Amino acid sequence: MTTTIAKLEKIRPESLWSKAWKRFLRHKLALFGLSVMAVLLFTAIAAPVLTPYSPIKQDLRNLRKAPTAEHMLGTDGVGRDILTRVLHAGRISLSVGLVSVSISALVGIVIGVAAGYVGGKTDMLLMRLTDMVMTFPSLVIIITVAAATGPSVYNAMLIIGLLTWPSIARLVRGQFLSLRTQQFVTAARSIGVSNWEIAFKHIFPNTISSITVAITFGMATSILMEASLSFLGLGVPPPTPSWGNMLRDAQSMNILEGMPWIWLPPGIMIALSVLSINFIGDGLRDALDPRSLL
Amino acid sequence: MLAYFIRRLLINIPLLVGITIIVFVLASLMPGDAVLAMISSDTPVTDDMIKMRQGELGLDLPLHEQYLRWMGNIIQGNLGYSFVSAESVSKMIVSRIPATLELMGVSLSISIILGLTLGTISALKQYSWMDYGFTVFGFIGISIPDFFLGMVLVFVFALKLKWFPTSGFITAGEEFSLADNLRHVFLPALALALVRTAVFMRYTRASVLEVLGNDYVRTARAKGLLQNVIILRHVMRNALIPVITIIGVNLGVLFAGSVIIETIFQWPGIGMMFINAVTGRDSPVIMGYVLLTSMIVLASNLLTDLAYSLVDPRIRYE
Repeated sequence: MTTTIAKLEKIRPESLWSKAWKRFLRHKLALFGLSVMAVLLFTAIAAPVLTPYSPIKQDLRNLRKAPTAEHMLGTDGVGRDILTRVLHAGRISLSVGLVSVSISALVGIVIGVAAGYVGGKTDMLLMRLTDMVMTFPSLVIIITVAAATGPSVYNAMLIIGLLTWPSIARLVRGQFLSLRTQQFVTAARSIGVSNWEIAFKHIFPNTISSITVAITFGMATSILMEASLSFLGLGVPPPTPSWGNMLRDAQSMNILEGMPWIWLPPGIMIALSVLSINFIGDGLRDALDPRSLL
Repeated sequence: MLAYFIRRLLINIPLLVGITIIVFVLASLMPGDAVLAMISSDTPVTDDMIKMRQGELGLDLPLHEQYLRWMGNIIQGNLGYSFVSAESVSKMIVSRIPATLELMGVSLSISIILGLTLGTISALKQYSWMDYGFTVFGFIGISIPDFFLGMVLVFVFALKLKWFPTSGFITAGEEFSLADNLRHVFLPALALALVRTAVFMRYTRASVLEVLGNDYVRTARAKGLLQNVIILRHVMRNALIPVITIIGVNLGVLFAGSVIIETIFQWPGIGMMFINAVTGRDSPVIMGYVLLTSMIVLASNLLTDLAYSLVDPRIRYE
């Protein structure tokens, strides 16, 4: 008797999250992405301890030096250590990505929930707004807004966040529309649960897994957008390093041709971080949303 | 069908008006003053002269009246005049559009051919090492910023191997020749093509896999049809339907997405015109460009819907 109970306890169903975690661990690319991201995050956070140089202070005795033991990735046009700058740039670029995707998720969720749960006129108006923001060619409009507001880290975060929410809003709305007709919602309503609680306590948790996936891919997009903006001189203003503005140096043919150590590292860092995040996103999608085909 | 199309067209009108309002507000927020931008620093001007010129341009009117004037001009096809060169914005756009369209066309052809081929192979050999390799390639494709890829291509193929020129539309100082022009368009087109190759490949793979599971494919196999006939006539025809949507949506994105590549490669299209206008705070040109690209995105979405219903007779709009 006691043994059967022990057995029953053993086969107790796993929670959804632990199942998802196991599926995630089987995804080799996602694990690769996760490890690379862990290293990138660590080196970004620990940047001041990892190298003895300043990312900003110029050193006019060491201009454009090719990689040596002292400067492992060489120095740039005003003698700053490239490795130091690449690590410090990681702090800026990753935070811009993180903050802008948070803004975008917050706006997207609020609008998506309002449209999908309230429905009717509200839904129609909000969806027209979403369509409008979506119709804007995002890079073009982001460049225009950035040019109007002037380059700054905070502007970059805000602009990218406020123009990339439509995809999340549509996702949340779609899920709410299909979930709100389900029986558990009718049941909750029949026992007098308030609208607010139905929306956020009963329906919203069901959308978290797809929102997580969307946020991960959104983070990759945000990092790419920051890089483009800063590359054009409209994002993170120098001398603060970001991967995008470090690539500006390569606009000179001399540097592009003769000093690849100046421009290759920041470019590789952008590609590597975006690639890792995309791998993680793919793993999360397989783990959390097994039905999706793509 | 026609009624559906007209309704979709009408829905887009308020959308377009909303876009013009936002574009206008953005442009008026731009730092810098049109009149101050026009006068050169060595001619002495009085404040009265500046006021007078502002009056001529309508810059002293309240914002909503300025907007209505601007809209009135746009409807008549007048997008205003560049602050920098005093050229008509519509003329500037018209003269630069062919270069952008050429770049887009070449780039899109590369990505459609590569994307559809790789995607189909990937699906037919699902879970093979090739499928796996293409998938990783696809991820790399969407992760490298196009301007960085452009730099790497210039570094390798133009500066080191000297197979292609580094930038420009044709070799400076030479007569226009198509071969020379195509050599110039290749690298920027390739840099732009990678992302879309990856996207098309993924969609084609998913779509082919879905079609392969259908009963009629099994029937075709049972009839003893050749593999190639099955793939071309039965699978591809159906699998391409969703892919067309993605290509259509990407038309608009591509049109607006070439700005940085055009700048890096000094490709004289409207993207480079836009970036120069942003640097020079030339707001009529900026407004004209943003308006045009938004309209093209709207139009390409609409055309995609239309194409979708033409290739798939199962879709009916009421």
